[in-house]
Amino acid sequence: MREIDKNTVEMAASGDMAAFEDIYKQFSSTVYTISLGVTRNRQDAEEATQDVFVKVFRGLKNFRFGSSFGTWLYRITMNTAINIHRKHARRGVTSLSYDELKDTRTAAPAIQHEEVERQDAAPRRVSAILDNISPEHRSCIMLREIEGLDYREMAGALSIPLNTVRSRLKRAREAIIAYCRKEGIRYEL
Amino acid sequence: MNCKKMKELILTDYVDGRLAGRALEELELHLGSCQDCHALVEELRAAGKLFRAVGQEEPPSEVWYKIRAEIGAAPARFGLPETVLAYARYYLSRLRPAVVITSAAILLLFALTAVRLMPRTDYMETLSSEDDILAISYTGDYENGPESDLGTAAEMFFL
Repeated sequence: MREIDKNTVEMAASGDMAAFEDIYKQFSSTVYTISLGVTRNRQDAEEATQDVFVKVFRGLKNFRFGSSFGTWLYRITMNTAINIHRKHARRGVTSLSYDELKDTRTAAPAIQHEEVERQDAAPRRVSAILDNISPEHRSCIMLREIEGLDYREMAGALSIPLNTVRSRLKRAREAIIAYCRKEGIRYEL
Repeated sequence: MNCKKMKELILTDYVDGRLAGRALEELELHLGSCQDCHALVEELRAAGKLFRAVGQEEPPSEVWYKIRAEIGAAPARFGLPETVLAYARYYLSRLRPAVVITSAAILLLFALTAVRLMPRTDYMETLSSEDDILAISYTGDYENGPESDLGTAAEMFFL
């Protein structure tokens, strides 16, 4: 788990925007990627990212380095992303497919179509897999496989016991394997 | 251990590198003889690789501006001494040792140069400086030559 310099956190807590921007630059892609993984909706992920950093800024004065900054940030991200996803799911906002999720700014000219297809293959498959497992399992898989957190860090980030991390990971992986076998999804890059 | 128990370990501790000792030996022995479990390990490793290949994504730049706008109105929550101290600690912490050593060497060089260039306060040099001669001339004793008229009764006494 990536950590951040203590002085940067203290500076940001004192209201220094340059220090807070440092924190944002270091962690915004982590927060956004997890939020996108959990909500499966670009607009929700942006909203979650915004909410997370506003909460971080307001909570910094009470942060005492008792736990790691990373764990604290992951926990806020998870709670915020899951809450936004639940709120919008109740309102009937649906998740988007990979093509809908994909940023139009990355669209390439037709001549490069094959190369784009090849490069897109992995994100497209991962997106399809994430769409077909529960938000709880998604968050576990994101933290373990994409963020590379160990079980203890995951337990801290998700506020669940170590054994629950283990059992959720097991069920998430079973679901992934079952889905990929059923749909014939290949793992090769 | 039976296959079911092995699969549970494969799905968690084994692929995540948390298995050690006797349990690990036992599982690896099992993998040598069980095609199903071996295939599961391969699938899980390939799936993990696929997820890791995707990597992270940057949020659009407007997200940062929205955050700034939302927290911009937040009042200052710390006093001036705390803020100054925090600033000093922050900027000092960002200096690399090489920069600190170079800065210290430059400062020392400046200090030594300044000491060498400072006017000396030697008594004779003071007397021979033009300003002092001018000052003496205001006393009215300079008209007969500086050397002959500098003597006083006290000096004469010690000589």
